[in-house]
Amino acid sequence: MFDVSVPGVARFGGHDGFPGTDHASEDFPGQHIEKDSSKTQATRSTAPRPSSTPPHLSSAQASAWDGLTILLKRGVFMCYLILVFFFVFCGIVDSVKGQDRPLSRPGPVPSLLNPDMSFDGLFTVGGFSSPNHLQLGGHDPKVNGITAQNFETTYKSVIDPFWEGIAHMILLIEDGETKIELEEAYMTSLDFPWGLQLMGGQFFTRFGRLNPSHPHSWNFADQPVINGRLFGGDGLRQTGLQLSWLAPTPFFLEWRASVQNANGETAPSFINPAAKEPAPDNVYLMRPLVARPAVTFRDLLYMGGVKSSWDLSDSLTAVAGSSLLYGPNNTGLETITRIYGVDLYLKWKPEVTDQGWPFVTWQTEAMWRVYDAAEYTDLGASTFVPATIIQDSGWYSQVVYGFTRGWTAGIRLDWVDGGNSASVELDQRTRITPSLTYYPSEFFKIRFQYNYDKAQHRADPIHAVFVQFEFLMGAHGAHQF
Amino acid sequence: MTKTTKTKMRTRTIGQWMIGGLSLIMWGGFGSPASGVLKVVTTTEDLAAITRAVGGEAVEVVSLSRGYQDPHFIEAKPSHLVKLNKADLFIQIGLELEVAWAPPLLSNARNGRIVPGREGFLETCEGCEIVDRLTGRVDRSQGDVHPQGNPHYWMDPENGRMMARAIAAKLKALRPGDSAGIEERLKSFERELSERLVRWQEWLRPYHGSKIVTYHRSWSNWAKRFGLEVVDFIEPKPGIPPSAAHIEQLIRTLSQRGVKAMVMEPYFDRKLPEKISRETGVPLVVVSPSVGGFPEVKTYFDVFEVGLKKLVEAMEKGGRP
Repeated sequence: MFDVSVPGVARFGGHDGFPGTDHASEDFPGQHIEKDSSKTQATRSTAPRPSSTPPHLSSAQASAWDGLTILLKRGVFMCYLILVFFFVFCGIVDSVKGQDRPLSRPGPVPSLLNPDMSFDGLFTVGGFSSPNHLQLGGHDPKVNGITAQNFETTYKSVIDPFWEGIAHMILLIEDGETKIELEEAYMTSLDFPWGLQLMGGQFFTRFGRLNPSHPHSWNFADQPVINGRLFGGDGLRQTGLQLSWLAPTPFFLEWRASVQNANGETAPSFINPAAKEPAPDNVYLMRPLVARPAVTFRDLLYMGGVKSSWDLSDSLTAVAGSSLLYGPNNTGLETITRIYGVDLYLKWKPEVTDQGWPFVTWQTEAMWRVYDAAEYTDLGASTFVPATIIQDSGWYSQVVYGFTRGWTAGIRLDWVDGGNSASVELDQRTRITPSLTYYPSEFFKIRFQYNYDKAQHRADPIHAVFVQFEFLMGAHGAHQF
Repeated sequence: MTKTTKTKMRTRTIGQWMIGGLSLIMWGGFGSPASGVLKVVTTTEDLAAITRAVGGEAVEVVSLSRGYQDPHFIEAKPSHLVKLNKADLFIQIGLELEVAWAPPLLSNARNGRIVPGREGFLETCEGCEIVDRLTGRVDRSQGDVHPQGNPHYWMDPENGRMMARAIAAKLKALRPGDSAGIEERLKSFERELSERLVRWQEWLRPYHGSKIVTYHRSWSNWAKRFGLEVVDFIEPKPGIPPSAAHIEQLIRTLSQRGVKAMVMEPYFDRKLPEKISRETGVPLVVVSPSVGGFPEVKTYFDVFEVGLKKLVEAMEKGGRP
């Protein structure tokens, strides 16, 4: 499908501001390079001379000078990286020094050796007014009948004085087949200095509020539409590392940055495995996909985010966040996807409650995807389809009111728009979801939910009714605020 | 502007941000030195009160919960992480009282000093008399139980003495320079405790062996120390609200067994207990189990001073038809 000739060299440069290195064309002055993106149309036979090159040098000397400058810049960047890692390493060494007491957890003696274990079962009985419903979530209720959404085994334990670990494995049943997924399995540092915390392993990308959370903790039986569109059925989760920093401010302010793999079913906006399927399944957002191996650090998925919280009063707390994702997508070999998000959360809970009731929470998230799609030749129609940028966005807003002990009522509004009224993936769609949940205890719930789903590409709305059940055995820690 | 210049400027900007960021991180991260005021964060106001009594000016104490709140169900907020990040010492009651909300705060506070097992972590249950340890089969069919024993052990002044000693020992270990002052304040605390305990037990002597009903199984240590017998609970099982059948059975118990008073904490719903009290004539006494539960309960001693006085007055009145 692609007729771009990419020089078979590792490219460390980027046309998009990747730190520290120059554009690839300057690595090899004199080389004829065809760009595969409409953004950079340059087909150069010589690289432009950087303006800092002393003018009195000859051409050969100038190339040498260019080479030296590039090396120096790379060297400086490497120094930055080494500096960062040096301080992190010192931090680890600092925390290890003088710690010879074995870690003991408060609790009955057996828990010293065994992790805390729990098992959470989540399933829904329900149905849709149309068999072609649009549920995007892999763990959403999906059938007319009973959906075995999520059976999650959790292990949580302190690993050693410096690390804590948690693992979540989920089983679900799809079309009569049991599937097992590693949802999350990561370690968290307990003792980094300077307010830092390192997390490593397989984890949900900490983008926004809903993506990092688990289906059994949601206030509705299914995930918001925008999350399903941008992150797929299982949420955006990958293996990687995340460093976060708690700022020394009087209010809560946390900065996060993570690097993860960009490929797989759990990253459809990035390197989407549909490329392995035979055509016509080999498409995403109606663009064909190619195999794009992870070769350089440009083929990884980067996330940056900030989260801040203020206690507006003794009973009202606000949390606001902003996140950015930057990663490759496989419509081409250099195409990039960016996803931006903002989130806001307000929680009202009086100081004195009846086992946590009453309370009101209001959560809103808005996301926007900028997806570079590469050009391709449609062999069937013999047309050349130019590169384009697909932009879609959406938001959801939900209010949950715990009005009396054991009961919550919720309402959620979803809105998405991709600007293409004929497409299932990119049309405008609105959904309203009221729900009522009963918690006889903290370890069991029954939820009644109705969905009204109107998508532009369909004449009729879809109605759905669900009754969801959850049971929890064993120790299960509190969820993130 | 050529592409090269743009990239170079971007590189420089990113470099500047990274250096700036690193400096900010390091500046922010340098915590309190080994001398100076000790920053203490406790889970309850009682721990805070005892720490202040023993630590005096050597400590700066803040409690994550208020005395009028149920310590099992405190909302863990991001602002708590900010306080814990700066703490030199974290004190909790333990025995799973705070298990629903404290552990994730400790994991995410980015403060290695206060992680369980470290020097800056203290649970005050050591050396205290713990009652209601569950033996035999323990599971959630019994409600929200505490298998290691009743965590409301601070309601016995003698346990308060052991808690003060544990806190004093920890403070001395962290601030050896202040040892003399801490030891003096501890002795003064213990002296006052002993004097007052004698007086409190005098008040309760005429009512020794009296039967009471409490809302939640939180008064075991208190009842044991002051010679009272808890015969039933308004909750049928811990964490489960009372049903109609249970209320009926309770009303029978109150009259048949000659119960002198019903005792409950201020954070539970009073409607049903008040109704039962009106129907049976057994007085309902709302006692604050913690410092700050009522405005007049200002110190650890006030918890008993105010609460026991209230109970005795109610039982006196109730004793006369």
